[in-house]
Amino acid sequence: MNELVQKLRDDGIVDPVDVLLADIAVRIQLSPTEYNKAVQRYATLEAWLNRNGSPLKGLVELFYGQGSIATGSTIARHSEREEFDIDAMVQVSLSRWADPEQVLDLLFQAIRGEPGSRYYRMTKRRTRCVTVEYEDGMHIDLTPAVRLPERNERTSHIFHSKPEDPSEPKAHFVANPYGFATHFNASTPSDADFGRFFEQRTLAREHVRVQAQAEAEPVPAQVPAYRKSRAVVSLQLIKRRRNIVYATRKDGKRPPAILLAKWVADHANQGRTLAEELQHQVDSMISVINLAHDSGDLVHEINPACAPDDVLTDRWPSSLAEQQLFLDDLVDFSAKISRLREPISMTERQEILVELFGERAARDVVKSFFEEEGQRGDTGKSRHVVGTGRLAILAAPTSLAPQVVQATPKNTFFGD
Amino acid sequence: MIATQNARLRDLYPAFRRKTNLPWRASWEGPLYPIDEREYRIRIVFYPHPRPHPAGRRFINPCITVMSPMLEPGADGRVPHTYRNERDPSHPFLCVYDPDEDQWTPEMPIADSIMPWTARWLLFYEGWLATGEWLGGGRHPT
Repeated sequence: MNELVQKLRDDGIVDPVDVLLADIAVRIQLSPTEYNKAVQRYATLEAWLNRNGSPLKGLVELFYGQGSIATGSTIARHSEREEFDIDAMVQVSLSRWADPEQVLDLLFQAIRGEPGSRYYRMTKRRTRCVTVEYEDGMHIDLTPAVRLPERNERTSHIFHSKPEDPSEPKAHFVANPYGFATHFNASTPSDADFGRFFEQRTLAREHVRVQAQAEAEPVPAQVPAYRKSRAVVSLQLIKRRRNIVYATRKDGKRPPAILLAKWVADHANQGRTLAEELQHQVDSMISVINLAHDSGDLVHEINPACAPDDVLTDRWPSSLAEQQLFLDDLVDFSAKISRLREPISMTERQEILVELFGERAARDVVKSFFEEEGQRGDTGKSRHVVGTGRLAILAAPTSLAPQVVQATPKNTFFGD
Repeated sequence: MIATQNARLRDLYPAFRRKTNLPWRASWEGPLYPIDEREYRIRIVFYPHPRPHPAGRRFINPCITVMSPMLEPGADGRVPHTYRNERDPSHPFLCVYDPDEDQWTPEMPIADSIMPWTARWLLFYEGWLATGEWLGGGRHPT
């Protein structure tokens, strides 16, 4: 049976567990519509910063996305509400040793503008960035940066200032999120079959969403940005799991997304399926943390594009107890993924998915799984594997079905 | 006709074994895997020449039962899209096609019709257990 299952995978038949996991990721990620909205908002903000009367007019050298939007791994902030945090770097022509409080205040004033301006009530000053909070739940965090030209790529100083806590010293940090994203994307290339499959799942969901909301915008035929790799989708699922477990914890910081991304990049694309890749990534994180933990040490990771300055573990973990907490979470996560991959009932699979990723997303993807097959049957598009009767889901609608797959004749179930 | 059915089943579903081979009835038992490696053991009893039946009663052909795992009935004690099995109510017969739409006749290869429909029934049965809804469509006689 295992040889047959592997042969089916090699022939482009997708595992049902991969469909469920991919659909969870589709439901929690930034949709193509929201992605386009973010891109437009970036452009609008950049133009606003350069407007006549802006204190930063003529000083903005570069404005670019960073963090999860640069790595294709953005997910919703909350488990039940679609709110997204996305990041941008604002590279400015200022002294690298400019006072951090002044730099952040300057950016804050430049975005907020005068009373009555569109951003006046939407703008918040934070410790290292300025946040614009849109009514639809999208938050854009803008981080001011001053380029260090003697360093590689876009290595910059970023600024730390917490005016509400005078005891906390102001600081300059060296960082290169652009270099990190480049490293991450190079380490996690997509393969054609999975990329096409994930793109199709994204578009299918977009069709449903657009219909449900009666939007006039047509759904594009392709969204190349969503031809993601198994590693990137695994990162999204790991972040989601992290958000779920830490949502109920009042104390303690959680592992930062960039640290999770670094680990995923280090071990990327070793799985032949999404479930296998997710298992491998979680198990790899356990191994990395255990290596330090068993010696009584905290993990220490650096941005490979900005060594030795850009330390990714400067704020987490701050203690062995914090580290142990996440380690325990990962061990539990690994055990549940293993169980998910066994030949269990869909009822049990749904229960595991609810526990891992939240009730709404989990129940929705399980129901959709069967609804879609019902629709395929109605339109004569259902396929099965001869010899086992197994449902055959092709990676993409245009994929060539292998010889073991047959079209299922249409039928109507009867009886009470 | 039984020999033809048997040959086709042997070609397409070699894990199925013939259990009964009488001129008027044949049966096979074997595994189906509707979703992944989770196995359902199925018994199919086929009548090449269906008997006349009393008016108002339906002759079920083929009789498809799930040997394992046991089907789990809903709160009303029933499993959707099944016929009652008078001899063994804990193993109802699956209704995988609409007899009033002539979707199947004994001349049609079981391997190309009944088998994938049975696998499909099992798939939507799993869906019904998980979601509480039968999402595979169908028609009820009442």
